[in-house]
Amino acid sequence: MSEKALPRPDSAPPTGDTEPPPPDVEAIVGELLAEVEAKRAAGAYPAGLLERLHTAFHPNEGLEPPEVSVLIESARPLQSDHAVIGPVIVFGKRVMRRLLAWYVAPIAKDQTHFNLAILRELRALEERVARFEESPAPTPDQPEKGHRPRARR
Amino acid sequence: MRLAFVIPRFAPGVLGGAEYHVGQLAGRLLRRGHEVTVLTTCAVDHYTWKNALPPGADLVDGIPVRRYPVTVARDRSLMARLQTALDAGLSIPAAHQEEWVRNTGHSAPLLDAIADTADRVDALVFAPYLFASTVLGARVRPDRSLIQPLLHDEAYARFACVQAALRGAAGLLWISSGEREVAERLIPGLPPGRLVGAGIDLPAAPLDPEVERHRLGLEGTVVSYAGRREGAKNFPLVAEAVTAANLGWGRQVTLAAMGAGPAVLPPEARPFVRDLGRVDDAVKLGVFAGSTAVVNLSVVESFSYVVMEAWSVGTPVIVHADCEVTCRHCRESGGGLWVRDVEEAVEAMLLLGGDPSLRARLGAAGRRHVERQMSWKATLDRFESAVAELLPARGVARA
Repeated sequence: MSEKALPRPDSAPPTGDTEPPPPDVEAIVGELLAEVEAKRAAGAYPAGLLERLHTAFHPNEGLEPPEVSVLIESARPLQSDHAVIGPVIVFGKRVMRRLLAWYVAPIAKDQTHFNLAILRELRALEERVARFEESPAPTPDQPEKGHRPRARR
Repeated sequence: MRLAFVIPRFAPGVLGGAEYHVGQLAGRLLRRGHEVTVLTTCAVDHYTWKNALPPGADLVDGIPVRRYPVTVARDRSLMARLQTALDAGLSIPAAHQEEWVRNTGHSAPLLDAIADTADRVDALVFAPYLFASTVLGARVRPDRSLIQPLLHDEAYARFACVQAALRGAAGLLWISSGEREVAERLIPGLPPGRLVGAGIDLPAAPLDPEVERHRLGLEGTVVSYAGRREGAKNFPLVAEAVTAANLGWGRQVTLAAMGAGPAVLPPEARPFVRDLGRVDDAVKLGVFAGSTAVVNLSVVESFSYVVMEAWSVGTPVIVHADCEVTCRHCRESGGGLWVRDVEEAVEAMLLLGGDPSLRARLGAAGRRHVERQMSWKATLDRFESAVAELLPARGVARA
């Protein structure tokens, strides 16, 4: 049995003389990518529009460093898309927010503490990795700098 | 041949690639004269895993089914926490991986039934790879267990317990060569496997591409999408490319979006997307036939019936360059192009829209590929050979 493609069943029609060869999709894609690259290099694409669309279609994509989103706020701007009763809805939301603040605010505060702790550890780890990467490679009889045997758990 | 398929959910109306595939396979093997049973749970919803159907014997599309109750109630809080970590790309400890699996419809009576059935069938066939019915079920009698993983590159494929279940099985049945490549890359030491593929029913007669376009009022360049309209399937990237083609390239391109669930899109996209919702197969194929291309930019596919359905009506596809499975389909058939970002997707759509001859050649190549490789007869032949080769005559205890 072929390792790369499905085996041709016995009932499959043989490749006849009249059958056109399959399109060379590798070549077509290659030309397509070359064209895209050339247009990109020439600035032919609407960069501003593409960036705006990207943000609109992928709102949760993490483009910001985590420091920007480490602070969790329990209060968000209130709004309503409803033209007529929008102000009433916003007022209702404001009341609800005030009523629930005693419950929500401590959770947000705890989450911020946790985020900060994780971020500190992450940055410390990054610094340590950077130091390792900058230090010269260890010789066989000289253990790596900072290496400490750890007990297996 | 006596076969028992084990799948976590199996009932009319249960949508999903694995359920569809097993239903087709089991039904057709049954009609070929094999003795086929489906062992499953009483659950229908793969979020709640609530026992929605009565336990016991049932018949679904003529296939004998035996249902067993889910016995581990889903721990919503735990699953929410684990899922958040997994979705963020973090790994979770092995013990939590086991817990995650146990929370996907674990049924102790189903495991008992697997033990009872194992000696009375030629093979237990499990699908898909990640749920409790497979991970825990294939441990019961690994010597009789074949797994059809239907796997793609995702966090669950890296779970230690999942990998152990796959390694322990007597054999693996791959639905595509791309799936096998992904699995072999992620999981060393897999048991022997066979490429079985899947079947597609070709329309009896060529479809008129204008029928659905006219009925639905679709004009100009139309590209179509079918499936779950969600980020996990990269649907936003499809809509983004169509929006960019209209707003940035000044071309009229309409996206005909079909599938369950609301298509939640930014306001910019709405004028260019026709949300057709759930449609029947005839409408879906009619829309495909009238489309310049069917676009499936999902990077998590183990097979992609949508790609095959597009080719069955002679329409080329545009897939994501990072999806090994769909990309390989296109390379093997010559029936589609692969792209990685919005600019490439737009250029591919416009290329096919502006060159009917190229579109026709790609579509025809795709259709030839389906005719040759994806017929049900060939698929069933390969399935029978695979079972015979992977589990050679061990003797079946007759009931």
